[in-house]
Amino acid sequence: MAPAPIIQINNLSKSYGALHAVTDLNLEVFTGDVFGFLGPNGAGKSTTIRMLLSLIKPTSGSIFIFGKNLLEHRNEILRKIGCIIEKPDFYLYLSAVKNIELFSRLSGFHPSAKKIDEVLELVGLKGREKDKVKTFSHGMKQRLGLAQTLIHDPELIILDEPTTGLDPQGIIDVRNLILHLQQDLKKTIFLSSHILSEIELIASRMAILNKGKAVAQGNVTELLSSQELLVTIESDEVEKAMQWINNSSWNKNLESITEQHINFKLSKNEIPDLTVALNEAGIRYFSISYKRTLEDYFLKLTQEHDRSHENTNRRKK
Amino acid sequence: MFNLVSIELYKISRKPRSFIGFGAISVIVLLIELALYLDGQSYVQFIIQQVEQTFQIGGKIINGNLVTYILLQTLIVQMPLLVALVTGDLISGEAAAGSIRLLATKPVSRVNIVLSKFAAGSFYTLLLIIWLGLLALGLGLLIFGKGDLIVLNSDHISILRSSETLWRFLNAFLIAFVSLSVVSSLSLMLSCFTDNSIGPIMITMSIIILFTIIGTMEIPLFDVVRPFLFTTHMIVWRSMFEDPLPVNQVITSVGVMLFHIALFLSLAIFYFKRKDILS
Repeated sequence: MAPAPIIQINNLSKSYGALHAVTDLNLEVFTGDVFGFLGPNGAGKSTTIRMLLSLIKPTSGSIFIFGKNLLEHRNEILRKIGCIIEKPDFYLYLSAVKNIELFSRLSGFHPSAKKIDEVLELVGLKGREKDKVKTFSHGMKQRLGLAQTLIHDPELIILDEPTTGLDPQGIIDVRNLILHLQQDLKKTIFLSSHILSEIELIASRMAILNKGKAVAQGNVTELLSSQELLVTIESDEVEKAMQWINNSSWNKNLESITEQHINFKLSKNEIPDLTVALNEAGIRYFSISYKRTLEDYFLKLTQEHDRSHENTNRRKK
Repeated sequence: MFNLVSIELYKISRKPRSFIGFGAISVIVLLIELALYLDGQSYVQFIIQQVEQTFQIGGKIINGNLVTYILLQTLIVQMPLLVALVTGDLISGEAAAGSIRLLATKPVSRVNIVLSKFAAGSFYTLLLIIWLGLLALGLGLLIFGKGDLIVLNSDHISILRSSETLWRFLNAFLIAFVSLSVVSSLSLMLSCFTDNSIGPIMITMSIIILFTIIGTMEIPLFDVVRPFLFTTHMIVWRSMFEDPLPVNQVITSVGVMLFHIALFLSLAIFYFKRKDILS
């Protein structure tokens, strides 16, 4: 039996006059997921996240979180959510500790000094807790945002671009923190990011949004395994390999040849078949590697969606 | 709700701009009291010269009560700006800073957010009034001593016995608090409409100036609207120094001001509840 969705979005739409920011969006996020939410700028990611957090009201559709309607059980639901929306903006004239304390009190939680200390240490802000936030860099504010998200021990964590402004070490730290939250603390994480490879590294499921519509949704591994990869074979018998390829069905997958490399366009599932075929043909090779970027997949999907969108519009005209 | 109000009060207490009002009141009170201490006799002489032809006025005219009355007359013009400086920033300031996003994602209803901000703004206004009262009346009585209060009205003079002045001042301060609460509710409402903190403060002051001009100009067209303008009723604290006390006028004016507070607050809640937070 499939686990119950922790977030269920049904036919969600948001319009500002003639502008359709989100159109008929359907999403399911399951307990324990790290759910990646992808899309180019202006795709409707932030609008969707703001609707999830009741910052903006949907034009139509419904949102269920923890099995309850967000409109009817807003406070009960928000009590169990921690979030960062776009950039974390705090009260600049207050210290880090005071900000954390005020926001957790607003969540109905009165944290001890020890708990605040622990969370600030977890995000790497120990030693700066008494400093006013106005002295913090963007990266430090981002870390404070994470601390604020975690202080009341929420079940669901919604992070909108949490690594923006962080240095490479900071990005790795956040990535590890997200994995720790999911794997060790069993939290569900809804993560939007413009760093697409990040989603590939940490998300279990994902949705891709373009022009307010979901163009793909599902298990990250499954979605990406159906994608064509650029598979490179390094060999010192390129000529022999070429003769064999020309007489085989692999010919249709051939992409390019260099002095020591043969490139194929294949799906991930076809790689084992290729290795078997190469072995049977007696072709010596040093390595088989593949390049797969989510960027390629993402661009392909959004471009396909844009083309179909244009065609529909043309037909309407 | 108490939790929310205490958080709002804490935030107000940590903002440097919150102390501008206290500083301005202190400076104005001290300056005026010093000036009256040094040259008060000629100031009073100038004011009472027109009635001296009819009456002989004796005794200690400049006293703590008169000084406090003069201070109230002077400061009541500036107080709305000092109040709007803080209350006009309560929601729009958070929108401008972006902290409204976090605030609105917490399990607190938007109605309670507006009400707690209004309550905190009202408490701040009350503190300003108390500070003005303590400084003006306390320091005035300490420096100038007690005495009967002579108040010149447009068509009569009221002479109030020293023993009668304290409760009149207390009531005048209470009415001034209601008047300034109208200003705080108006600026809070305007604060819901914008995402910058200067706009509501400027618009609040513009409305007060406009309504005051309409209220004071003797043009028949304005006579119709004058009773409905809150600024017309904001000066009703002066009635506390009339003898006999115009009770009905005071009750009506306080009622009109309370109606305005309820109206502005309801509009603020109505709008903020439906507002999409895009900042």
